[in-house]
Amino acid sequence: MRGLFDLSVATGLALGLGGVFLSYLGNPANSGICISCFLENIAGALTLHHEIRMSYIRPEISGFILGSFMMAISTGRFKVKGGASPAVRFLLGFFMIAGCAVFIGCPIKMILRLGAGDLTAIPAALGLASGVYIGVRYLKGGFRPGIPKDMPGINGLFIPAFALLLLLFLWLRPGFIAIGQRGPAAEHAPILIALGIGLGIGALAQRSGLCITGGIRNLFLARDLTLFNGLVMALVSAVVLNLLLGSFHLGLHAQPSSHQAHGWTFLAMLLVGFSSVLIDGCPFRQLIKAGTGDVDAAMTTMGMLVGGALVFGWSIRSTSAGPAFGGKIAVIAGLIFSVGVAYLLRQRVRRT
Amino acid sequence: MDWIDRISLVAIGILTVVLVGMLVRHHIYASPVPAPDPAIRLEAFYKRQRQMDEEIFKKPLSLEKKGEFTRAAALFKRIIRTQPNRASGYEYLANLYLKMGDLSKSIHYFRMAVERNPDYVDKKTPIYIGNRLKRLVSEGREKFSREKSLKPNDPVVKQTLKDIYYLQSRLAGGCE
Repeated sequence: MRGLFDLSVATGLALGLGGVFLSYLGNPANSGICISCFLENIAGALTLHHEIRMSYIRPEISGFILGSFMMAISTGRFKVKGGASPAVRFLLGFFMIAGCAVFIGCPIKMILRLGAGDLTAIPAALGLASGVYIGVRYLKGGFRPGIPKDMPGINGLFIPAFALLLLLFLWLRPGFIAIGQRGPAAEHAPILIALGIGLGIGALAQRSGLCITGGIRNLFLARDLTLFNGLVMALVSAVVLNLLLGSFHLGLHAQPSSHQAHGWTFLAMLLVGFSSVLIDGCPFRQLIKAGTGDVDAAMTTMGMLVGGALVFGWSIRSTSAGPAFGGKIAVIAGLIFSVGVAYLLRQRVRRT
Repeated sequence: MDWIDRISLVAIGILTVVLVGMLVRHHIYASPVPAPDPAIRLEAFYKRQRQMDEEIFKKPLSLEKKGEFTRAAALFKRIIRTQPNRASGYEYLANLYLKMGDLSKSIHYFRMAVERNPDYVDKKTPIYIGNRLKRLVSEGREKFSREKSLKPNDPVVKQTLKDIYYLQSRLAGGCE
């Protein structure tokens, strides 16, 4: 248990330091690591949307998946399982990214934004914790998405192979891949360093099981601090490195990719927290699990990628001006869907 | 290994060789002329845009040169109504209001320009005006924060502060 505790803290440390360092090396400010932003970038690079400013193949994503994959293979933890409500997971993956797009960032970016002094991320943290709490109530109330079964091995190789293919596309740059030369797409750390950091964090996260919403869930569910300590370490290390690099700016205003619609921020991250508990993991954790042969997490990952495309296609996101109308609708629709799923997949205790 | 397996493996092998061959051939023959540098393409694109803007906004720009600011502003607005997504119109108007000494309106129109074309705050583009905007926003924030304490319910002051916060956030960068 002690070893696992240390590994969670080590993963949190790597996330905090890695996130800030990647921004320092060229990734967008406060977005050194952001699963939702990066998936939006990848969706753009694959021309699933046409916002060229948000089109780039982020090697960090491939790094997380392949790091987890290699660690799982080398430790005998690669187990191909799935079939527990895959369609539901796909749609919840989509709504998770919609929620992230309304906040402008995934739970990891929320920690990085807090670590850079961005106070607009506080309503996001409260929303995320509230969403996780609601999810925990449903778990205690009998929510069961189904039992995953063993599946043929090739199903588990799909997402790692996709991650490898993305790296090939980044290297070869075939004509159908769009790489933006301005905006956030043009802001990136050197490819090999970004990939290396991704691989390291992916491998660590596979061993430790670190998950942003999982840490909060375990705290609510069982008063277990193991993963939560990792989150605290991620935040503390981000604050310290930001202070050292001069990128800590405490305040509500002049914060990168932020807006002042705090109510919508709260609701958006409530959706992310709630849906993450229903599908057992935040966006980052879904990538890590997809690398270990979890076919359900692979379905969620595909849902997240589609979400990354449609947040632009359907304008269900926020800018510094606040959430677009489509973003507000997506958050409400996502909450209705999540509650509906939680309601329909409950195993109720029959009283005699 | 039965005959179906053998045929499957042979088919995979042949198709893989064909695929790699096609890709290599395409890579060698498809693009003999190297694509121009993206920065040069962007420079050329904005040069053409600027020429088009000068043509479209010819009349209000000439009125502005003559010092007929009020008439120029009205004409800029009329053209903007017909082309609401052309960011340069808002930039012209913002500059004009700055000349007229109306900081609030100038900031508002700069916000509208940046909303329509974020390249204004992107250092990698030839139309970057971030440093100018930073000075303007800093001046505006000082002035309108002071005014807010004197007139806390004034809608113009409130809107201007919102515009300032928007521009500050865009100037700070991020993934948006």
